[in-house]
Amino acid sequence: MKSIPAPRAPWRRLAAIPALAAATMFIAACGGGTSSTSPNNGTEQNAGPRPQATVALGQAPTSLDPAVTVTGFDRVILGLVGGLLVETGPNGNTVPALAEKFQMSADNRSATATLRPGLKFSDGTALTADDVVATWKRNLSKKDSVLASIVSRVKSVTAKDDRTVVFQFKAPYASFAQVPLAYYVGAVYPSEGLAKGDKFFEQPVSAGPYKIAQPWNGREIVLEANPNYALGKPKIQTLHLTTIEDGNAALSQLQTGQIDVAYDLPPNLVSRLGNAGPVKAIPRQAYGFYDLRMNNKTGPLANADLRKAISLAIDRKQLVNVVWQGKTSPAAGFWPPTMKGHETASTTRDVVQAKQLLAGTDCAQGCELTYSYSDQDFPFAGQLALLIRDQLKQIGVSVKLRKMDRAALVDALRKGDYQLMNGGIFSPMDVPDRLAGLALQSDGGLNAEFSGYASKKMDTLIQQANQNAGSTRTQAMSQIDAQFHADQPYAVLATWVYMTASRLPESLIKTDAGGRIVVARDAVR
Amino acid sequence: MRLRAWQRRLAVQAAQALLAALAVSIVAFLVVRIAPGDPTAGVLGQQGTDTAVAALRAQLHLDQPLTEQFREYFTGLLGGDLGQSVLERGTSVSSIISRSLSTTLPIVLSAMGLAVLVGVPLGLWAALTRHRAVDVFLRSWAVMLLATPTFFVGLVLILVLSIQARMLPAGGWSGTWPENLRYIVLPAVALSSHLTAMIIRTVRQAAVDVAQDQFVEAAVARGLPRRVVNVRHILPNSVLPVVTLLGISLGALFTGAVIVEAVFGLPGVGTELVKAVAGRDYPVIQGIAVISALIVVFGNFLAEAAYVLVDPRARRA
Repeated sequence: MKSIPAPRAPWRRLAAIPALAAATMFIAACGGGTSSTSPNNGTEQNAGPRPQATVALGQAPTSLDPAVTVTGFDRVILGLVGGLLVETGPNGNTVPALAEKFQMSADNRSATATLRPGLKFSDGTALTADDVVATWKRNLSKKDSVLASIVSRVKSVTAKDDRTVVFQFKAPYASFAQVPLAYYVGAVYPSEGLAKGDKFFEQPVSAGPYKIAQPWNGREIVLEANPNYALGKPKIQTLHLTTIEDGNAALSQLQTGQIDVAYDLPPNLVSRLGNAGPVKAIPRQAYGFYDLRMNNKTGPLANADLRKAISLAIDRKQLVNVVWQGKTSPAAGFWPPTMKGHETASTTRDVVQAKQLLAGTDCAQGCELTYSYSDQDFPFAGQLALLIRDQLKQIGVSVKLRKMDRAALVDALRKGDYQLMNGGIFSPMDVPDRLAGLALQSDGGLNAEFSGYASKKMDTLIQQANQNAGSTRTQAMSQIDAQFHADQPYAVLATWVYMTASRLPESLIKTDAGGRIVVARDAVR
Repeated sequence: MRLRAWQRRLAVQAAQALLAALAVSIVAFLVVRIAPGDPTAGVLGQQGTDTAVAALRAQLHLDQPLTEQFREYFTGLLGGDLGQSVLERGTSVSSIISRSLSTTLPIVLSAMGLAVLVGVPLGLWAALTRHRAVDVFLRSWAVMLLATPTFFVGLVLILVLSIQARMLPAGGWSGTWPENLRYIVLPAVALSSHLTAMIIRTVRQAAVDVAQDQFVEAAVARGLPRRVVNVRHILPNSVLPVVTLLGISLGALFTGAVIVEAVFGLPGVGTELVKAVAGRDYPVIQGIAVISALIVVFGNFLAEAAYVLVDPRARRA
């Protein structure tokens, strides 16, 4: 029998693989410890100027075209780059920015902005009233723009001279200075750039505190302080905005000093940080709320008594303590406690009254409702769903959970194919327009927070709140709240909160109540 | 021209690769469209009005019949055009894939290298100390590695080596070389854990079998030192199954990279795929599916070719 000969040393060829890997690991190991954008790696900085900082966002930018973007993360970038005529002041009020003067007419039907002299865009070209007009022309005429609902009340924008812009409105527009003007929508772009079409927004030029030094490369976008910014140099020269989708990964990198700020983290991760150490969790309650959506149009939830019973059966305090780690406040009224003119509604759970309300509804003898949720938009959605299921069980409402991915959930929302669902909505400014428009108005674009709720009385009250300022607005807001409780289209659960974790002091960089990242800057020269 | 047996085998493999890529491209096209939701959900989110949704659907040609959409997609594919991302406006799918592959490929290759580097000597050691304490320990360790999820290995590595010891970054990606090398270490170690365990077991078993072969007995009988017999005769013949194992594991490593990329916050193919699936970015999902399939099939093809190259018996078969 012929024996099989031993093959001749094939291992020499194969040896190249481990040798290569060994070399790789050796070089890697020689690299040393973790890098940090903080000069003294691991200790909290004072509020003095810094050469750079790295901020992690939970999502990659999708577009820097304000007419296209729908994500909050794009808006964060646009908020740092965009030059605004007026901006949000420390108390949530609007203060002049590129405009040295901004005046609303007495009847709120027009506004006049006077630009500061000698304004420049970040590329050094002059910023004039014509640029403001060109920007607004695009805002008003761009086809399929997501800004349509925000700018729809603006009738015309004209330049009176090089420094004066006049805005005319279709109806009284008391909140114009806040939304859209002090929002990312109000950013001014050079008319020459806009003439290039949508391509301009791949690396837009504006006149905000920062300019884009390096566009998105799949890993980060780099912003440099704009040398031509009219309102003082930002105290952080270079901002690296990177993407870390997983909250745990962001926290780990924050703890090792690789990043300085993690923006909008899932609140349930915050307990990982503890109270000691250089990384602090900074909750910022916003102008919005988390809610339990209910389908008003079909099924048992078309009955307002059932919706009210569900709202009463919810233990909001428990939800806030477990889901939001006590970093926000329980809420039941329509207007968040962060907004001027809000009214404090009772958030106390009342199971007895809830059961009484159930009598005469389809759930009088118990019923089953389906609760749809996705943890892609709200990472805590699963936890919230389980708690609500347990709480509603106590009034005889059995909840069947249906976990979906984001796209399937949106599809179900659009088709009205849901009964219960967690949701949330917020306004970038302390004005009623956006919140009421999206979450209550019958023709406000979102079908009243997808509930299908439609009330002529409510629409009229919203119009009053939008068109007026002062006590008339406050009164209208109060009536809206009362009507909300009477109709209970959905149940408000808690105030919206932005959870930022940072190793830098708030006096240097922070998230404001509108969700914007704000970097401290030198006093205006 | 008459092909030799091994040439026929490689030709068949190449044909299979093309067929697999074709099948994946068709399945990917159909599956993403069967799933509920469409790209308008990803682009416009919950705040998309009916008008905006309809306009975007028209813009993305989603209002056209499925056959027309497939014709458009397939024509582009044949011309090497994977289309434009829906979520990341103005960016081509090929540029998204190439930039994310520049993160994923080095990690996958490093994981393979590391697994070979660690697994082969340990497997041989286990075989040479068969049924003794070292062998029992190594086999138990291999079982433990196989039973431990990759994400858990990653989290432990971050906790111990990054947060506590501050030796290596807890994740992220520098984007430039050689700085990236520091960022590769932990993800590669985490990703290699299962493969290392499989290699240990495979090499151990192969070495035990080879040690009983006639040519090993002959070598020993000729009076060759034990070390020489182990290194020159047993080791080379024990690592041959590793070549096949690496080829088979390429797909699993790509799948595992999805988890590892999430744990370490890496901008790789897995991250892009998760983002694309969540936002129903059809062109990116299809593109990643096709390219991943090609890489896996090509990896298997390479493994087959390497086997033929290193083992003369395979050439004769």
